[in-house]
Amino acid sequence: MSADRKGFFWVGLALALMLLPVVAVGLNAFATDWAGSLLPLGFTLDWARQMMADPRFLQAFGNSMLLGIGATALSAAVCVPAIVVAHAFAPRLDRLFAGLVILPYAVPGIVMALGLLKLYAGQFGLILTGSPWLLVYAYVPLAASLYYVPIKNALRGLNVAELLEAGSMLGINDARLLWRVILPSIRQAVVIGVILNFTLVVSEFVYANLLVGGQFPTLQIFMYVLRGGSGHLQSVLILIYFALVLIATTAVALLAGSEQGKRS
Amino acid sequence: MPPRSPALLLTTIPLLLILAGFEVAPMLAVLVSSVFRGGSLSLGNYGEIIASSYQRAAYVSSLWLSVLTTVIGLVLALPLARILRRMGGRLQSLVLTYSNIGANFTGFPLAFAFIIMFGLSGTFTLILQRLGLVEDLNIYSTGGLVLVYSYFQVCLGILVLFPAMRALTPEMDEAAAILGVPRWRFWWRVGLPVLRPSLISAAILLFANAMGTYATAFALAGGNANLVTIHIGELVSGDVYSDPNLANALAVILVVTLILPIAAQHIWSSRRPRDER
Amino acid sequence: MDVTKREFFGLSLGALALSALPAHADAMADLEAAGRAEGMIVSLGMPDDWANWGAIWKAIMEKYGVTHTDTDMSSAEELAKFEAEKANPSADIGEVGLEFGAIAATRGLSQPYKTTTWDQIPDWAKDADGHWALGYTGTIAFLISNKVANPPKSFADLLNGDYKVTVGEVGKAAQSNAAVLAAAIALGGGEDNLAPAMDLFGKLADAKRLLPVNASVATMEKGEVEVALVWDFNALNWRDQVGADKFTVVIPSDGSVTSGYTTTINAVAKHPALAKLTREFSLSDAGQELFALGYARPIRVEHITLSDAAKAKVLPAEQYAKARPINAAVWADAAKSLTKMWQEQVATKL
Repeated sequence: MSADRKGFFWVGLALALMLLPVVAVGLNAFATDWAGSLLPLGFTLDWARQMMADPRFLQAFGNSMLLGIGATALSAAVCVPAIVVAHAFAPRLDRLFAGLVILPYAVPGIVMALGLLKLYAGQFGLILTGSPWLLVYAYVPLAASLYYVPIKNALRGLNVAELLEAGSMLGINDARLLWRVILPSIRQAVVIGVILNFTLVVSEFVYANLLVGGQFPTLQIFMYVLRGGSGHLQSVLILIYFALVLIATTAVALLAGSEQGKRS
Repeated sequence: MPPRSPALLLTTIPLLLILAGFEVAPMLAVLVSSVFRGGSLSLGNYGEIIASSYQRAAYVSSLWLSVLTTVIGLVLALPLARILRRMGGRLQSLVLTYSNIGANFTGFPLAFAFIIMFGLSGTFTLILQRLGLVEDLNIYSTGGLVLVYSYFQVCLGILVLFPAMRALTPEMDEAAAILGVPRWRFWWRVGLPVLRPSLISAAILLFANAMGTYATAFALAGGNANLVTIHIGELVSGDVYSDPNLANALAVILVVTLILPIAAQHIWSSRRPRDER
Repeated sequence: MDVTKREFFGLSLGALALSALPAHADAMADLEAAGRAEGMIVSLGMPDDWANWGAIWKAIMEKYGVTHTDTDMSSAEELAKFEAEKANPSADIGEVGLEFGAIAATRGLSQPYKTTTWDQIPDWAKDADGHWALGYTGTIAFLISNKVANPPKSFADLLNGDYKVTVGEVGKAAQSNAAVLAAAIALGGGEDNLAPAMDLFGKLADAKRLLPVNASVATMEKGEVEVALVWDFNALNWRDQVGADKFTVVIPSDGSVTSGYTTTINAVAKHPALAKLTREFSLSDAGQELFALGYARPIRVEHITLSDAAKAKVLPAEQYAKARPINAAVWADAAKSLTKMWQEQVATKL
């Protein structure tokens, strides 16, 4: 019992610390004047109203949602089966994936973005820049690790080889077994991947600005445009972005997790 | 194990194609560009980097910051993920949700949030000053970077380690409790070995994440931090001068730095294939 | 907006008369017709709230009945985009720092266009072939919080105080590099001798009085900025956004440096006529007035009469007595070694 209570204490503390920066930004979004004082001197809804009245905000919000859903759908459809199949049947391919999914992290976004710009701006006959489709494809390598790491970690907890062995003895074909047995048991990892993936897409700025830019302004591009202005307005936008991530995360978790919740 | 269902392997093709077109190809473009200097083929960019004590110092501090915050991230995330896995319920999903926000909280917004808390007139700076605990707190420093990096590293660590905790079954705990094995011993003999592959892959991800971080470092420590990514930013997206070839050479060095631990992991896991299953 | 429009017609006719070449008027009519036909213009790094480009775009859109899109990015990114998109250019025009005007021309990324007002631009601020010309200038100013007890008037004053000095991202931001150069000039150095500036900032760093982040409205509001070294147009604009009673702006009395931003027209622009007309308008009397209304000191300030509203937005001319134009050619080389000097002589002490 006391171990549990200690657990609650630590998790609660961690949660509080994680929330601190969010709270700080939240306070600033509603602050009238907050220079040199412990807490804001007063609170106002003006900044939030101003943001809501800005047509650029609605446009950026819509674009981010569209891109987030589209890019996440493609990434999930492409990554999840590939990772599971490679784990189960092709260890060498699996190792190749392990390396490939991590590499984009090492290269700063701006360098990759310039590489993509060179390749897909028409010099090699293929023109993808200026269209959000390029982002949908270009985000897949970034998202791949977000599926790979949690799914692999979950698969390690299962004995896939044994399950497949048992399945084939019982005459169940591999595809069916993967779909009916393996996939449900790694569901939580997939859900984490989807949530991270969506968050990544609505958080990304460098690719979006350089490869597509003003033709398809996203929330992050709008945030960049606002950077010269009031910090309160920026705080409102950051807060809205948090809310978006929070709602999306909760929605995905609810859609996918009700059954899982009971089991774990 | 040989592929038993060749048809299933076809499902990996779309991912391979996209990785080839949107990861490998631009990286090759980066590699090719890095061996050009002033329009002609040359290894001069690499020569310049290796010869410059300033670039070497940047590499060392990037490495140092990344290793340190990876360790901090894992050391804090591991027990938290473990407690979360046992806890379940609403608090669990709440923490995972916020970890997700935290792991993606980067760039100016994150830096600004920490400035609100720990800047010159930040709330905590003022509290600590009034309590007489500190005279001056400088968030715009290496210490500030460690703090902010640790924030998103812990969040990312929780997210990627959480699914792995399934490997530590309640039965193991019970067995340990019944036998009266001390906690540290349980972790040393059972917990860590069972989790090792997951920990290694999480460590590589966190390390890569830190090595490649640019916007956050830039927004917080600006011209002060001597990091490889900040140099790359100066060279390709600065307002002062541009030398994309040199920047690409720096990027190639970053990639090689990451290939080393990944390769080590491969050798390790292929030598002990049973761990992988 | 009506006023602006009327002024535009009146004043640009005046400008045309000045050039006194009938061929120009014909060429201008052709250019305007071509611009109207193009229908749209795409720019890089010319966002609405920077130097009042918003008002200038509005005037251009109304005058020619065209649409406009901007993507904000840094000078180096703009040129990278021009270069990568040669086969299928998406952008027509960009605004870049002084040094980058020449870089774009050398790399064959820009095309020349001399406006009808070309003769009134000082030689240091334009390209002989017409590839670039500053539309407005920036001079390094002190942006001082009114909470500071003994506000500095000169770089020499900076040492006598206990306030923190925000210098920004030296090495990356053109503004911060210029601040270092301004200090060097004020203290007896120059483009090729930054030692006096390194000495000053080294002492400030030793005293823990130097902040390496860019000042912004957000950090000013939060009370993080005490004394910042920034372009005059940023300083004035931000001061008014945060509250004119909270900050003061002065040009350092012992010297400063003046640079600026230039339009660069994509060599393969899909809408070249509108790109040229944009440069034309920004350098016309009406365009120059709009820059001043956006706190940016127009490059033709000595040849035009600003409205009272615009005069109130910029600092009086006498403050600029000791400021001198940057020597861009020397500085482009020196800037490369600046980062290293800064890291070794200043950043290590922070």
